[in-house]
Amino acid sequence: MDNKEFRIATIEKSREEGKWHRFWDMISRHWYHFSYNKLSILGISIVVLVILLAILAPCIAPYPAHAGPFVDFINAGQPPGVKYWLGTDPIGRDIFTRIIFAFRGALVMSIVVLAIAVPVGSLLGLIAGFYYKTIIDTIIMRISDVFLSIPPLVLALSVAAVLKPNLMNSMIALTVMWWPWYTRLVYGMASSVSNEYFVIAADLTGASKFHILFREILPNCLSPVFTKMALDVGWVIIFSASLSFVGLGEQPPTPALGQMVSDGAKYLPELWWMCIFPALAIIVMILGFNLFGDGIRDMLQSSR
Amino acid sequence: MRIGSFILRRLLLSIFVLIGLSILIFIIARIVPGDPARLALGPRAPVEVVERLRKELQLDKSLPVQYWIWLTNALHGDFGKSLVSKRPVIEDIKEYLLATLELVFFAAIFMVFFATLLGILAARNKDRWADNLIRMFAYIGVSIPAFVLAIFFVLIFGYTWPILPVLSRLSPQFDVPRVTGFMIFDSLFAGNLNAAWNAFTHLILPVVALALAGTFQEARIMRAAMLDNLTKDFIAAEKGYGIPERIIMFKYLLKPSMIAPLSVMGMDIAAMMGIAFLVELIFNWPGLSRYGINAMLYKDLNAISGTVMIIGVGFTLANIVVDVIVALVDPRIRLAGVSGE
Repeated sequence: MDNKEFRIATIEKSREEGKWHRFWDMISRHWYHFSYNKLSILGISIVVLVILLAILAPCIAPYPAHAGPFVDFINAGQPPGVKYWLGTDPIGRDIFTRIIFAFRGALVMSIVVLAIAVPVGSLLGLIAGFYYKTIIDTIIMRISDVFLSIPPLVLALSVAAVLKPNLMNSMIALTVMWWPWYTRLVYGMASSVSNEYFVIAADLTGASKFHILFREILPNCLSPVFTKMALDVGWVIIFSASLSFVGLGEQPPTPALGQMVSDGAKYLPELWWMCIFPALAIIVMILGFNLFGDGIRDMLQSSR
Repeated sequence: MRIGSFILRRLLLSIFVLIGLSILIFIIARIVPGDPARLALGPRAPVEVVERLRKELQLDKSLPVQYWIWLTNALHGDFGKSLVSKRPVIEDIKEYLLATLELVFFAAIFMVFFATLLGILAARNKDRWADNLIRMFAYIGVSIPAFVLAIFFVLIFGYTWPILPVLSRLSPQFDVPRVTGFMIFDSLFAGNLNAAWNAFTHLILPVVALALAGTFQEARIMRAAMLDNLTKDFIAAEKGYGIPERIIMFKYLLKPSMIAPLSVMGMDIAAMMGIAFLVELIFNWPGLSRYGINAMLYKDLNAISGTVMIIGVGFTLANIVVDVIVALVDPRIRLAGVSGE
């Protein structure tokens, strides 16, 4: 009796351990495919670093007050040195601090834009692909064609321009511009998947439309969507930097990378650090997210 | 004949898209910002004056009627008056459009030429240093926004090492009569070689800033397509016939390998009209994009809608041209386009 209970307990325990084991197995397999290319590791390091800097900005930044309306004319226009690592701007604010705080806006921007544009775009693409060659398909796809008929940056700029320039509205502008790409992507796959036998079988056994759309078709479209999402983060950062470069993004005194570059350009070549370091920060950040996205793509492609 | 009906089909489709675009622009420039009359007169204008302007601009009519009026005017080339330049928007567009087209035209030539060249180079030197160098530049190139590259160019070539001009289209001492609107060709027509050279040097930096990121990307796609086609049977057959490798490379391998890069190049070239917005601003290039961005910063709604509409038409036409070129190169698309999906 005692023995039997003990045996059951051991089996239960080993089952639990098996779960953990399988989980770790999956993680390590994915990590193997991800880290196959050493550049992906560089990418994920940059991404983690940028996220940590952004989250811990008030603790890490040497002069947190400089990320706001702060004036210190004694230390104005200091070149990079021991006290101010990347120099100061003409009203004495630390460039390093402002770059770290600007990471926050860029990250929030990419999270919000993708968190809205991806579900909305994918849902529309899913519906259009399911009702392939019906009036619903035509309406949705022609509308998305209209949004794709001007250069993306022009669309984003004009939406941002007619609204009040701030971070919120530049997010709206980018979201308006971003969703049709996902509609196109999911539409292409959903329209071919919806002719597969398993979808027809589900339909014949009386599954609801909801079940067919979200349980049968959608899971088969997700992998490319995630890949595109990972690669799009860099693009959102480029576009948001472009908007704030012309003054249609985050407004001063809150720092944004594009805005810092355009401010710095006014003081070229004397205060070159004002312009060069935020520009380098943009490049490193985008490079990191692009390499990370490439790694995710390789991982999803080889584990399929 | 077949290519003719293909073009016709694309044109008909794009007419619907452009009608949709005009509705989108109408919504963006007329409905989202609120009352155009109040915006034009400012917040302190008396109510009666605003009302009078509303009547004058026919803003008291219903929205579909307003859209119809706006569209018919736009089709006649009348986008209203610009608030900033106080001239009809279409006049401004006529003046600035060609400068942008010149920039995009030369950037496209740069992109196609160097992407093909580097793609061939990378494919022939697979996994050797030239290939790795191009791969590295592709990674870095796609991570540098065009405006950052433009700023770097201004800093390097404007201040530290001033060998190339960084502002405007032509040095002020030259005066070239306007014939085609492309500075280089105008100077050549006028027989002024110095001015042509000057215009050319002004073009270099904006063109490179506009085209560089895409060029390396397309070189990579070109390389992948060539390496992919290299394993195909027809290449093996040609090798078997003893055709020299150089001829296989340029006569048989290049054309099928151009299809994938061509469509990406087309999209990139069309997208340049958007990226030009920032590049023109930085290099002070007197083009439509700089005009458009100033209109956006001053909330000059007529100018915004005119510029965006013209750019949309140009973008759509560019996409059609690219589709036609790709169809000419790739018979599979051409034939599928006619027989229907």
